[in-house]
Amino acid sequence: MNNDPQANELKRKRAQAVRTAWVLGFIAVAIFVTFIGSAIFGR
Amino acid sequence: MSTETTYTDVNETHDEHDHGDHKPTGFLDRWLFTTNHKDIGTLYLIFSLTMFMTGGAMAMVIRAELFMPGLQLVEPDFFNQMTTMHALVMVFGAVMPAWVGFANWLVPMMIGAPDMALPRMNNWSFWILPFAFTMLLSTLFMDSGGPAAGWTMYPPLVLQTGTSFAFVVFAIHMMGVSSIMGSINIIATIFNMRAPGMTLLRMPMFVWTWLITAFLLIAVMPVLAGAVTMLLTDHFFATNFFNAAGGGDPVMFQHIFWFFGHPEVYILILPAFGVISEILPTFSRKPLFGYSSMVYATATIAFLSFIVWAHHMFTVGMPLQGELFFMYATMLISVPTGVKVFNWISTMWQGSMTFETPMLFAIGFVVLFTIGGLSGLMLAITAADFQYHDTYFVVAHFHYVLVPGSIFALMAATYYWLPKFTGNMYSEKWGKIHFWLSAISVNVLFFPQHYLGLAGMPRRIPDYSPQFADFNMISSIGGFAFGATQLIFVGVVWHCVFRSKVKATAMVWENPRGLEWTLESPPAYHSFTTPPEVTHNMVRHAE
Repeated sequence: MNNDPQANELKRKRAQAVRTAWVLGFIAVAIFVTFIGSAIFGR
Repeated sequence: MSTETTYTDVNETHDEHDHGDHKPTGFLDRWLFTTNHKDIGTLYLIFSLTMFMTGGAMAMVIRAELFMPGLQLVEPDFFNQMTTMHALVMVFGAVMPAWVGFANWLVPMMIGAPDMALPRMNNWSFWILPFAFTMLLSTLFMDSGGPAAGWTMYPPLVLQTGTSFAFVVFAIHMMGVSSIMGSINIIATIFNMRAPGMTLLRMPMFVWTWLITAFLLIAVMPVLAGAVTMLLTDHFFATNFFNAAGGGDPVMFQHIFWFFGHPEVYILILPAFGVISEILPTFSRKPLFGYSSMVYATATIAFLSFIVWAHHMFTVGMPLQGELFFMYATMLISVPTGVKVFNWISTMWQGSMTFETPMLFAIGFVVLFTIGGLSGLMLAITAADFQYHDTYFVVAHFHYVLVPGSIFALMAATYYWLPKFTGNMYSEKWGKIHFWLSAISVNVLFFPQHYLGLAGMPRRIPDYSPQFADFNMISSIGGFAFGATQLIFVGVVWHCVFRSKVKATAMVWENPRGLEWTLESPPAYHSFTTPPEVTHNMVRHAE
């Protein structure tokens, strides 16, 4: 196990960043789908 | 001993602890497979400069054709391909990647992070771009020619593009994917990778403006992707989203496009606001005036950019209430923008100003961008817009915002941070020559276009009535001069990177503030491997 607190902290930050990225990616895809969906079903 | 780490302490701390100069040795490992934010930033900046020269060459074709009335050099269809490609290349290939390049270099160094949060995705974000633009530019050599309906791609005109249209749409999709991934990376980095003590309201303005820009990108690039996907299916799969004959609505495209397109304008200019807010304090030797109001003004501009889109389409026949709403909402943007301009002026007021090249470009930005902003206010007035719409007045307006606006800010940023990036000083004499020739020629190029527009000359035409001849000739002379002047810029950058013998110090300038100046010039390949402890006296606005 890695006991270097700095390396662990960096790993924790990166893991949190990946979670942030998934949320933002989901938002981007949702906007894309919403616009095309509303053009199809909103008329 | 004081518990506060001083500016100098931090500098020493990092000289002591950074032993991170372990570059990959092979060319492919260093540049194709790189995950280093500095290398990826460099790739973005080189790509952007290449696209700037490509888009500039197209502008030269346009101005050469418009030098005199009548058709001289190119076929009308090719002229329209040039106007369309010039815009797409400059917006998506030159300005946006340039800002991403600076973000890659600077955001980690400014917040005390060792790298971007998602380095592999960072590599992918960049390497999509050369393929996207190769595909886009290749359409010029296809039988059906490149897109010629303008960068706005309004149907039904754009649906007359031949089979090359599929390449254009796919290229735009790839650019969008690249921008969204880049933005996700920037937001994830700023939210998660800040050094201890780097609170949100201690972040440099460039980081703040990029954070807000990244949110704009994530919100609107999928909208553009949706719009061009619908164009694609209308063109190749017999759908009728925008085909009136099939029950579709071409005006709906304009609404969707401009819902993307107006925030896009701010995507191009907000990072410029950040750069100017970094440079003016350094050369005025004063803290930035009204830091928090600058942050709130940036956020307000971003919010308002979502509710003004229809000012681009006043003439399509909207209800009067709609036109009034979009008119007043647009005028409202001048309030936070005015806050920024007055804060910049207040920053310079009674400062010990010196006029190195970055400062000259920054002051040029403030003056000339404001001219573009004021002509924007004129265009916001619905009744007046019926006269200005689709004329050269609009061309003059947005070029004042984008050329002495975004491009001047990019030049300022290059001169300001290039010594930090390379460890070499550029030639101040040639930098100043570049500025003055640019500042004069850009006005000769674009100012007469206001008069052409007011006199009724329409945009996107290769020929015009003889009464427009004089101003067009002056504008073209300005264009050729501005184009040639940018070769000086390429020369100055090349000399600074490869030939300059004058070494830059860590600070480069007289007491600039910000974490990037605490690193050596050039910074180690892996900087801030030990996170710095950030205190309030290390950020300029907290003085």
